[in-house]
Amino acid sequence: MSYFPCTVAVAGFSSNPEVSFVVANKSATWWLYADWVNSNSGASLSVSGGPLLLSQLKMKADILTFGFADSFAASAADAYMSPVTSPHGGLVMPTIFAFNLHVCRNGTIPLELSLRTDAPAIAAFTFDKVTWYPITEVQTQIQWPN
Amino acid sequence: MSSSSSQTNYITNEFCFMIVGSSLANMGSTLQVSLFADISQGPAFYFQALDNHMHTGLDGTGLTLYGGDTNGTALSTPVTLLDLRSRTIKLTFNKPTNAGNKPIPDFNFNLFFWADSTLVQPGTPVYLGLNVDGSVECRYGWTHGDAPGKLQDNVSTMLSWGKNPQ
Repeated sequence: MSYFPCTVAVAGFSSNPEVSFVVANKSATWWLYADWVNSNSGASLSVSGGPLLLSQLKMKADILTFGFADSFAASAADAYMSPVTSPHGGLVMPTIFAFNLHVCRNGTIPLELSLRTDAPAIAAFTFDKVTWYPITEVQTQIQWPN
Repeated sequence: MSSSSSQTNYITNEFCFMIVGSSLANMGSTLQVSLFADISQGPAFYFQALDNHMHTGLDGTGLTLYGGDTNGTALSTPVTLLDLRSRTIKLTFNKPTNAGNKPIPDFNFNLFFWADSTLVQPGTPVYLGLNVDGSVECRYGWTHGDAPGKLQDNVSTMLSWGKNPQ
C-alpha cells in the first residue's frame, strides 16, 4: 500500500462551477484519501487558494466535488490566470484553487482521473506541484511518483 | 452507522459538526473554528474523511460540507480554509452571503471519527475540544446531518462515543 500527497486544482473559469475529480477505480486500486494514517507530516486534507470561497465539498473514495460561492463568481475570471505551459512542457497552474489530499495505491495500475464540471474550467493534478497533469473530461492517465 | 474489525482493530462512527445558522448572524467578517481530539482527558480518536479503512469506501459516504439540509445545498457561509488533520480540524468562514431576511442555514460538516477498538467502544467517554473566535452555537451528533448535542466554546466537551445526548 502506497500513499502519495497530491493536489488537484482548478483555474480559469468565469462562473461558479461545481467541479468533480473522478477516479477510475474499477479494480479498487486507487482511491482518494484524507485520513490520519499518512498525515503525520502535515494536513491530510486542506483547501487553499486566493479569494475563492468554497461553497460545497463532498469527498468519497472515488470522487471529490467542490463548488464555489456565488459572490466570487464574477471576479474569478479576472483574478485567476489560465494555466500556461512551462518550457519543459509541463502545465503550470500559477493562480489556483488547490485541494491538497492523498491518493492511495494498491497495485501497479496507473492512476486515471477525469473531470466533471457544469461550467468551463481548467483543472490539473500534481504530485509535486512541479509537474501538472491537465485533467479533462477524458480519462487522464497519470504516472505515479517513484 | 458504526463498525469495527478485529483485523484492523478500529471502531469508526459517523459524526456531524454543526454551527447553528442563526448564531452566525452577528459574526464579524470571518470566523475561525478549531476542533480537536482532546486526548489529555480521554482516549485518542481521529478525524477521517471516509467510512472505511481502504478498499471499500467506494460506495460509502465521505466527508461533506453543506448548508441547510442533507441534499448538500451550497453554503451561505462559505469556507476560506479547511485543514483536516488527524486530531485537529481548522475551518475559517467568511460572513454569510445571504441577503435580506432569509434565515441563514445551519452549517454542517459530516465526517468520521475513528479510534482503537481496544480503547473505545460505544459509550466510551471521549473529549472533543472546540475553539472559536466568536460567539456561535456549535452542536454535534453521531449521525450525519443530525446534531442534537451542544458543544461548549473554548473547553472540551465529553461525548459518549456513538451515543447522542438524551
